[in-house]
Amino acid sequence: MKAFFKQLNYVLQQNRLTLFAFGLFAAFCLMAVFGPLLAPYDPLASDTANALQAPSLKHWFGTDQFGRDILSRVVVATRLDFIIALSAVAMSFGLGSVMGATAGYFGGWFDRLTGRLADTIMAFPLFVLAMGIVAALGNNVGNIVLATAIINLPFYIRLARAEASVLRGAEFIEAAQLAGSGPVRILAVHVYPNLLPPMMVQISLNLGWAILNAAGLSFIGLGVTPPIPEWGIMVAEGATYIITGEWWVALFPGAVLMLAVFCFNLLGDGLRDLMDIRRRT
Amino acid sequence: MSAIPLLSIENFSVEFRTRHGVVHALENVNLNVGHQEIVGIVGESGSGKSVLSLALMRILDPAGRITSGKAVFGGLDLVSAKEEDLAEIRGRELTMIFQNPRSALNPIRKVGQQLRDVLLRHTTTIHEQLRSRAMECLSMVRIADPERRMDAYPAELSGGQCQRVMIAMALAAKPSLLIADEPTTGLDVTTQAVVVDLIRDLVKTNHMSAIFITHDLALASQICDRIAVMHAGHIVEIAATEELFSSPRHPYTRQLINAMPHHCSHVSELGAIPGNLPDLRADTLPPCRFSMRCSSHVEACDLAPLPLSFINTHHQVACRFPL
Amino acid sequence: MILLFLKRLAQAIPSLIGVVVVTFILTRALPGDPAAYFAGAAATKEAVEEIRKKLGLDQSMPKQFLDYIVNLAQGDWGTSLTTGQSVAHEVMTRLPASLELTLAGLLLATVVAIPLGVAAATRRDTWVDHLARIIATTGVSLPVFFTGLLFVYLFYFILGWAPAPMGRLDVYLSAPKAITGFYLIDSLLTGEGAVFMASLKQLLLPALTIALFVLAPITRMTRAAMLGALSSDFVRTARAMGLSDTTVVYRYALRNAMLPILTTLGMVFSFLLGANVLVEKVFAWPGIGSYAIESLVASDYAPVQGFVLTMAVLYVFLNLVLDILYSLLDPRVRIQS
Repeated sequence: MKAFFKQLNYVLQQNRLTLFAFGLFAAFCLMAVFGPLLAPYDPLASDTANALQAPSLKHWFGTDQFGRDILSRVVVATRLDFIIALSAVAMSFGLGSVMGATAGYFGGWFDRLTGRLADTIMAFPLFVLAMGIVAALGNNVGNIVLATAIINLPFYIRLARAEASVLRGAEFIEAAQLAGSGPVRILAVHVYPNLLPPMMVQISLNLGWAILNAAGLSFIGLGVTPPIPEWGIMVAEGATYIITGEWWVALFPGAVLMLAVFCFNLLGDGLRDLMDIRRRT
Repeated sequence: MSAIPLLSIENFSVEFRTRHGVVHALENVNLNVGHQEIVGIVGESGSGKSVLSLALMRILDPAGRITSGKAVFGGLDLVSAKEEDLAEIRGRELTMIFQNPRSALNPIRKVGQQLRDVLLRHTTTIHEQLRSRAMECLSMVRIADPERRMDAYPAELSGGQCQRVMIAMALAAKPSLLIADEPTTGLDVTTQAVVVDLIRDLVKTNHMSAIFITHDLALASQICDRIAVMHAGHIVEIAATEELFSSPRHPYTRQLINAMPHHCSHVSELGAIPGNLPDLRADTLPPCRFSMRCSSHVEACDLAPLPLSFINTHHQVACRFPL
Repeated sequence: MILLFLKRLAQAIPSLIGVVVVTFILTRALPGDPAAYFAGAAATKEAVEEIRKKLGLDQSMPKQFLDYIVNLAQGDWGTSLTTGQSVAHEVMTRLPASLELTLAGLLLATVVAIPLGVAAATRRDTWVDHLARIIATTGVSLPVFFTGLLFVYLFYFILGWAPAPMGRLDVYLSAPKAITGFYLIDSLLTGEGAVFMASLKQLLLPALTIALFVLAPITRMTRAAMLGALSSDFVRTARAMGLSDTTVVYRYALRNAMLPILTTLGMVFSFLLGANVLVEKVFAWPGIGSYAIESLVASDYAPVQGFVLTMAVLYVFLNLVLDILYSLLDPRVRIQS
């Protein structure tokens, strides 16, 4: 554990960009946790007299069509977007990694079944499938999470399966088998923990993609309903005002959304570098 | 035969910058190749044989640099020459063939087409005659049914046939020097013999010279006029083939010969060379890089630079206390 | 060769079956009473029962599945509640619009991304390489609907270069005779220059948005594939044989690099089709994406399912084309089979 942090420190020193990403991630986490406390105004409070005001010292990000402070709404939206993304990825990862590991380690009919499932999901353009799932199950945030989780499942299944098949032939696994450990125990105690490092990269990249996905779905009207602040839906609401020149309504939520995704992608790349170093030494 | 060698390599050194430090791959290599002679370079894997040939052709990996020395070929110093001048001779006067011939050829291009690419580039063959010229080249390397083989992909040919195609490509422009970098590695024993014979015959017929690189001393003895022995980036001995075998003067050469199966009648007689090649990343390498594995090593071996000196007119050794 | 084509076609069948099964599950997985969904929110109890019988929702699951397949094959994809039109008809009418947009975007992206990737690989550590890497890293973070809006703001509102994002054609012009359904092609075929220019103007900004979205992955893939090819044994041989730089980079390296590029292009198409939907909303583009969005908002489900099915079939077809292209490019596929 200590060695891990030492290497983490080394990578961060070497790679300023990753350090920046970590900083950004910390900032976002703060916003997600303390959002409502940090927001200068009540994100839901409308003030139609002050509608569509350009950014000023009073309202750093301007106000929207109902006079609501956009900065406050953007900050508070962090929590919702993060929760959606984290839940979806946690579900995907949880189910997918277990399925994949079992499939990779045991092979046989389960492997084929899992493979079929992953292939079937991947036969769809993923965003379209998410739309279909939300349409079928009902338009609410829970189903956004479920849909995002389902479309991310194949990535984890395939990654876990590949890693597990490789580990199947490893010596320490053989040793455990000879020592009399049952297959489930081996899978849980020996195989699974060793899958985690490469999965971390995937999780980080996936979080970025999950946020994009969720925002995309809200943009077209699925999931979150107004007046709840969420980056995607805020961009959608702001879209109609772009043509008339009130750019701030859509820009700020969009820019922050972009920054969040960028942050997760950089983190993922940084983690990948970290894993590379670990594997090489 | 003129006194000026075809290729004269002097004090040639190459290093590689890697993530783990600088690798001193070659140090002060001195070697001459005369006209119409076949010189062998023999050494273990990692001794620097391939690096030497790639560096001469100036197609080294970007991480590699020639840090010193000259390599004069037909009046042109390959080390300091400009890319335009090198492009004139590469593949034309100075050519090279590689090991693992099937992966050395373009897998998605017909072999006839690859041959025609070379002919188009280096000869004055006109378009209409390209195909027939290519077939002639294939016949010259003794490929049966060249008409059909022209349209084959490397995956459809055997390793031996792929190597012959590569030889045909290398000789298409009638070069004066061919570098054959382990051309038989990856081929089965029977094919090895056929390929080696082919190379010798073609080199002699075309009055060319060749550098034959291999880890197999016995193979080198079949076709080379002279042999240079390499160890860890150094040339340790150069002599005419017969003399090298009858009176090897460097301890490493003696051990290489002892390790050859032909010389022994029993497996227990096979000599193994102790130790491994030194780590070429070290900042301070001893002047004699064989010293750690040498049974005759004394303190004096570690002093001062160790040159490759002549013990008689045609025999050079890099050893303070030659055998 | 024909055999290879048929073999690939056969390999696409399981995917098609999977798609049909999943879309069937989606139509029946509606919480509550599926019949009520299809009848609409305003339907009476009798209307709901009528729909139930009409759609066979009172039958057993296997029978329903069979009916579903038969209906699909016969072109009965249900009726839209809001327009009253047959879903299949609407989808077919609107499909060319989506295709024109997607293909234009893909074409634009490829024309920039591949040369950029090649240049990045051949000129390592120069500004081109750094530019390509920046594009590759930041490009994947751009939300496509956001960049679309930014483009509208910049090029329409501020610069006034682009027309209003209101669909495929200026309101004062009428669409060309529908031969392919692609306005660009049809207007050229019927010789209507003005319509061609106008369609092009409307297409430019949305196509650019899509292009930007897929630029990053394609550039990254090209660069990686080229780097791999350039360090391969056969390129080393080509260089040693003295072949010109142009020959080595394009005839030897790039052609071989196309193989891994084709393989990864399939994943890019998945994102491409998803992006299409979002861009159609931003630019009010009358394709199947906006059809689905409008229907979703109105709780009209049959069109959404028709949309999902169409997109999925399109995707399977695109992957099939990629597979066939790959087999054509790589003789080893033929040799090994």
